[in-house]
Amino acid sequence: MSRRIVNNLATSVFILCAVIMTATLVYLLGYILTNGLSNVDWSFITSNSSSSMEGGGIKNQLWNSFYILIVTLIFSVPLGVLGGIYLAEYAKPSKLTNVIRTSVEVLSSLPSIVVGMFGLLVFVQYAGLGYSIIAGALALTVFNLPIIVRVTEDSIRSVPKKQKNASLALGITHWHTVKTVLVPAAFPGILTGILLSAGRIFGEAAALLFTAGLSTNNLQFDTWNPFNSDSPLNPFRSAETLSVHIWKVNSQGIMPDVDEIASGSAAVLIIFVLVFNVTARVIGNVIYNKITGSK
Amino acid sequence: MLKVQKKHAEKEYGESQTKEKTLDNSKMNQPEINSLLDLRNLSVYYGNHQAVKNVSMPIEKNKVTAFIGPSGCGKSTLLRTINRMNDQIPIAHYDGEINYDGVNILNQDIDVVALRKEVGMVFQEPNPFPKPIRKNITHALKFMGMNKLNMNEIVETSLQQAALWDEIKDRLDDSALSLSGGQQQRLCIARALALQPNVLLLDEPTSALDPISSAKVEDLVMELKQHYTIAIVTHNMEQAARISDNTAFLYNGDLIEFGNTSDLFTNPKEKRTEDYISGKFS
Amino acid sequence: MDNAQKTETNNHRLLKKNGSSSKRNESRGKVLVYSSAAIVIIATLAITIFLGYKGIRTFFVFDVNVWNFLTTTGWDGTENSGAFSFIFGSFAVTFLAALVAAPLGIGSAIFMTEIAKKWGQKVLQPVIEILVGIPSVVYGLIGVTVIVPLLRDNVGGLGFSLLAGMIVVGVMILPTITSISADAIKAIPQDIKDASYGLGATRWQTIYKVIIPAALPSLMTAIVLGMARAFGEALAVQMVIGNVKGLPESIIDQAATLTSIITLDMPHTTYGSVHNSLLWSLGLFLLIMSYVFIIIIRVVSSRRKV
Repeated sequence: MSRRIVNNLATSVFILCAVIMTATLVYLLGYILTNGLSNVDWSFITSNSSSSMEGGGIKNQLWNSFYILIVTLIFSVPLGVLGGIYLAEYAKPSKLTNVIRTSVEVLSSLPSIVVGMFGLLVFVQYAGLGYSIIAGALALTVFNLPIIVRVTEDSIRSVPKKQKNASLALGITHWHTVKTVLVPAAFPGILTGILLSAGRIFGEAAALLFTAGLSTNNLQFDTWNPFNSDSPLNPFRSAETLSVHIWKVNSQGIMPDVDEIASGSAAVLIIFVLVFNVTARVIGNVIYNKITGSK
Repeated sequence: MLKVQKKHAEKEYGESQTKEKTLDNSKMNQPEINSLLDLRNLSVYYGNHQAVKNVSMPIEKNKVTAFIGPSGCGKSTLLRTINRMNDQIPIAHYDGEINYDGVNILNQDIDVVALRKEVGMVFQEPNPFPKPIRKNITHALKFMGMNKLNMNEIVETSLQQAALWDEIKDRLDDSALSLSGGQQQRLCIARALALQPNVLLLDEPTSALDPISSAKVEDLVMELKQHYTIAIVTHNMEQAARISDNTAFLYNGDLIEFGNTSDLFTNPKEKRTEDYISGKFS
Repeated sequence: MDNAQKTETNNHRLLKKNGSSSKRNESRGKVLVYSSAAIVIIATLAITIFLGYKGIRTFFVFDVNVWNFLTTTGWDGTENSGAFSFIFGSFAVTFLAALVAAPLGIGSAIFMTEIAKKWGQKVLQPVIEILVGIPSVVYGLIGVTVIVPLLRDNVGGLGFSLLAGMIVVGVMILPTITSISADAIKAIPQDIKDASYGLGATRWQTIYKVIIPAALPSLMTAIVLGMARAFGEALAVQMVIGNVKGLPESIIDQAATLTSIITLDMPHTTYGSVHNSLLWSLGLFLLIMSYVFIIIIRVVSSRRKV
C-alpha cells in the first residue's frame, strides 16, 4: 500500500517538474509577446531610436543585428564547416586531434563576456578596427565557430558509410567525395545547425558590448556606399544591435518610455529568434525529404 | 576520349606484359593461364589479426573468379584489397604482392585513385547516390573532366551494358532511390562500367536482392565477362557454380583450394572443400 | 619489389605522380581543412595567451598582491582592490541556480523519458529548444520587470538581489540540464529497467534504485555544464543582481559577480590604468574557471557507465 503511495507521489512530483518548466516557457513567451507587441507598430520598426525623447524606434538596431549576423555567418560557416570536415574525415587519432577537440570544447564553453574582452583587445584595439560591425562579427565568429564545427562533424558522421565507399570505389579522390557526396548528404543537418546558431547570434549581447559598441549613427538608407560613415553597409562603423539596445535602454536609458521600448524590442527579438528556430526545423525536414527521394 | 585512353592503356598493358615475361620467370610456370591479376603470398592484417593468410592465385582475364567460404573467412577482405578499399581501415596492412599489369598494387607509391578507376567495385548493399539516375553515372565522369556530349553517350551505353536501359530510359532524371533494389544494384554496376574498368569486383552483389533480381544480375555478370575480368564474392554456392569459371575456397583466411569451377564442385581435392560445398558447414 | 622491377615500372600509369590532377585535388582539400583546424587551435591559444598576459600583468606591473586580490573585499580601482565579493557572488549565483535547476531539470528529464514519452517528445522537447534559444537579455529584462518587483513586494529588500539572480539564471540553465539528463537516461539499456520491473519494483523504485544510479555520472555532467553556463552568464545577472560592491549578508541582499562588474566597469576605465588591468584579471579568472569546469566534466564523465 505505502509502496503505491510513494510511487504515486513520486510520479506527481515528476509531472509537477515538467509542468513548471512548460508553464515557465508559456509565461515567458506570453508575457513578452502580450506586453511587448502592444508597443510594436510600423513606426517603431522603421524609425530611428532616440536617446532622450519619447517615441524612439529600432530601425537601425534591427538592421545592425541582421548585418552583424550575416557577416558573422560569412566568417564562421566556411571555417566551421571545414573544421567539422577535418574532425569527421581527416582527423586521425593523434595528439593534434585531441588538441583540436579540446579547443572546440574550450571555445564553446567560454563565457561570452570573455569573448567580448578578447575581441576588445585583439580586434578593436590591436587590429585597430575600433568599435565596429567587423570587430563584433569577428568576436561572434569565435563564439559561433565551435557550434558549426560540432554540427558539421555530427552531420557528416551520420551520412551512411556506403555513400562514401561508393564514391571512393569509383576512383574519386577523398576531397572530391567530401565535397560532392558527404557534404550534400549532410547539408540538411548543417543548415539546421547554422539556423539555430543564427538565433543565438541574433540574441547575443555580452560579446558585442565591447566590440560592436553601444552607439549607432542615424543610418541613411539611401547611402549605399560602404565607405560613407552613415551608410548602413559600412562595416567599420560602431553598431548597436537590438539585444544590446535592450540592455542599454534598460540600464542607462533616460527616455520616458524606457519600458515600452525595451519590451517592444524584446518582442521583436523573440519573434526573430523563433522564426530562425522554426525555419531551421522546417527547411531541415523539407530538404531531408527531397534528397532521400521520398516525394 | 575515355575510349581512346583505354585503348592506349591496353596497348601499354600488352607491352609491359611481354617485357615482364622476360624479367619474371614465375609467370612462365603457368603458361596456359592468362592472368590479369596475380596474388602472390598475399596476407592482410587488421592490427594483429591476420584476415588473409599467404594466398597465392591468379585471376584470369575475361573470366569470372568466385570466392566462396564461410562468413569471416577473409573473402571480402581479399576482394577489398584488390582495389585498396581496405585502406579505409586505419589498422589494415598487407604483406605479399598483387601483381596487376606489371606493378604491385600494394606498393605504397600506387595512386589508389587511378587504380580504382581501372578496378571497379560493386558492394553487397546497393549504394546509389541520392541523386537522379543520370547523375549517378556522370558523377565520376564529371570529376574526371569529361565533357557533356560524351557523357550522354556513356550514360546510355553503360546502362545498356547493365541491361537497365530499356527499363529506365524514360526516367533518367528521377531519383535513383526510386528504383527497386535489383535496379539499384544494376545501376551501381552501370556506374562502375561507365569508367570502362578492366576489372570488376563484386562483393556479394545479390545477397540483398530477391531471387528474380538476383537472376538478372547473374545473367548480367555472364554477359559482362566477355569484356571485363570479374571477381565475385558469394555466399551462394549454386551461384558460384552457375556463373564462375574459376573458384577459390577460403577458410579461416587460408586458400584451401583453387581451380576450375566445375572441377572444384564435382571433384574437390580437399575434404574441407567437399564438406563446405555439400553444406556440412557454413 | 626488387630494383629491376622498380625501374621498369617507374613511369607506370598507376604510380603516384607529382602534379597529377587527383593529387592536386587532394592537396587543395587538405590545405583548406587543415588550415581551418589550425585556426580553431590558434583562436583558443590566442584567447588564453592574451587574457593570460593581460590578467597576470596586473600582479607584476601594478604590484597587486594575488592573495590580497583573491581574498579581500573592497573594490576601489586601486592596487589594494580585492575581488572576493565578486568571486563569492559568482559562486553563490552558480550554486543557487543549480539548486533550483538541477532537481527541476532532472525531474523533467525523468518525466519525458520514463513517465510520458510521447508528451516528452511532442511538448517538452520543443519547450526545451525554445527556452535554450531565448537570449539572455530577454531573461534579464523579465527579471527586471517581473521578478524584481515580485520579490520587492513579497520578500522584502529592493528586489535586486542574489535571489533574483538565482531565479533568472536557474531558469536559464534549466533547459541545458534537462536535455543532457534526458539523453543520459535514454541511453540506459532497456533490459536493465525491465529487470527491475520484472522483480516487481514500482516505477519510483526503478527510477530511484536503477535509473538514477546508472545515469549518475551523466547527470553530474549535465549539472556541471549548467553551472559552467551560470558562472559565465553576464547580462541577465547584471540586470537583476543590484551590483553593489560589498559582500551580501543574505540572499535578498544586492550583490555583484565577476561578469557583472566587468560589464559595468569596463567602459568607464581608461586603457592601461590599474582599474582596467584589474578587470582583465577578473576576465582571466573567468577563463581559468571555464578550464576548471571542462576538467571537472572530463573527470566526472570518465566514470560514465552508460
